[in-house]
Amino acid sequence: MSKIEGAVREVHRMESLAEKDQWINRIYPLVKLILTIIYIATVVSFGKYQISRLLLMGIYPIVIFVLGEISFRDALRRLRFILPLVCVAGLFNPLFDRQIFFYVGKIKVTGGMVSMATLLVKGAYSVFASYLLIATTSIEKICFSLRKMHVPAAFVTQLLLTYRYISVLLEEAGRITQAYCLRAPRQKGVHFKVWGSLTGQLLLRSIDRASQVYESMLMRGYQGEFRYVSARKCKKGDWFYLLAWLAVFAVLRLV
Amino acid sequence: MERRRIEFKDVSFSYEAGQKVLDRITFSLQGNESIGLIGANGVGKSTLLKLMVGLCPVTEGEIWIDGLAVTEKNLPGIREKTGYVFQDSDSQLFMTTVFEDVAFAPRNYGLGEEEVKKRVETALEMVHISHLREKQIYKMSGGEKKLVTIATVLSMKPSLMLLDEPTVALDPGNRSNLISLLNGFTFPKIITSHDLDMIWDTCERTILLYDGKIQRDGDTREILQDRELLEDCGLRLPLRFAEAEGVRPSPA
Repeated sequence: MSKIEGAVREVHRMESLAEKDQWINRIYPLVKLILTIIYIATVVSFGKYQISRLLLMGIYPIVIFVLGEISFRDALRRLRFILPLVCVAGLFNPLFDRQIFFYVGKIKVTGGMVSMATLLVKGAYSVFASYLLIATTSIEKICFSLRKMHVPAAFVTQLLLTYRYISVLLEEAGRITQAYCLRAPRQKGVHFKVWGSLTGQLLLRSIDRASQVYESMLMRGYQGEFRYVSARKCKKGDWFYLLAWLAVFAVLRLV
Repeated sequence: MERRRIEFKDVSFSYEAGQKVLDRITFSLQGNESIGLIGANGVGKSTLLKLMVGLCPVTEGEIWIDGLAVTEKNLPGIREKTGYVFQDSDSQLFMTTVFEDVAFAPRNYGLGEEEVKKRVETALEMVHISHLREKQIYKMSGGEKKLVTIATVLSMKPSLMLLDEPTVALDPGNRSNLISLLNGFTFPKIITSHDLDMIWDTCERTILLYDGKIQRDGDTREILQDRELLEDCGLRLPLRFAEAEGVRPSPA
């Protein structure tokens, strides 16, 4: 399976996860979105040396991973994209902040090391929380929640269509590279001489596909505003879920 | 006399200046007729359908759908009553599950969730795919996707249906299911296709396009048995007649 096919499958796999009929999937999407935003904001608000208290915030992702039967390994895989960036951001902390905090055996643990570790934990928690949101909530429901939060329609529609067109783009890229590979069986990858024409083809074909999708939307009454989610009312249970977690976050952050 | 549902008056269209794809097309559809629109590749069949719903702009001539001129102002009304089934199902289906996709149009028309559900259930029952309700689109076969595209249109309760090459890439079983389904619809239809046997089975009237013009407009039975006419327009007899005459389809 090529990398592109893998990426397409990954997009579809996430959609399958979001469509599962688990209790966590059934929670009102706006509640999950608010909770994710507040969780990330809370995590980020910890001081750079407050790692021990920050670690306790791990309770939220752990509980959801366990009760929602969501693969922790998949979430870890996603960290590989973010952690290097976070590492770069915190790379100089150990160099500039050499104040010794404590010893582990004979090893000096400096403030820079602690602050870098704090940064890494914050990054990991934020990725986990975002992953949990998209693994339990479809893109349509996330967009619905954003609209409920009065995020402008133009922005939300842009977000949704970008997401939709990512798979269109990937599928077209998959077809083009497959056709290329079948006619260049001895080559490893795509030769740089044809990168230009393949990219051009990809762009043109993606625009064509995207226009067809858009035409199909127009034919079914789309007029610039998506109405894509069943108008299920937010129930008491949803509010209780939100309030319970907010209470936990408040305790962990303030006490 | 029956009401004119669709009327084309001297409609011409070109994608590039000086190269007319359609040239002075005039015809009307009355009552609940089903019209088969046939012609060789690139003759303008799909363009003609797109003109009817404003996906291509009418620059010359007039088109009227149920008493509404096809103009920018009337497009929402025209599109609401016109079900358009695209040739490529993958382009028509863009939501995650069958239910969400079929519900897309009713929700866009602002219907309440109960009504949306009712419409989706009815549309899925009409095409006999209620069991696929929660299935994800990307996991479906070509035949299933085609049925879902028809359901997405039926949920709008259209009063007119346009189908662009509906039998492309369908296996014989799915193809004959689709034909029975189309024959069960009581509203008028315009079907473009190279599958002349399907046109024979579903349309009482046929319009043959050639070189951007209407070459013949009349009874399907007459047109589809006129070998000379079909061959002059780059087509061949429907397979049922070719086989009856012992003519094997050319492998080329």
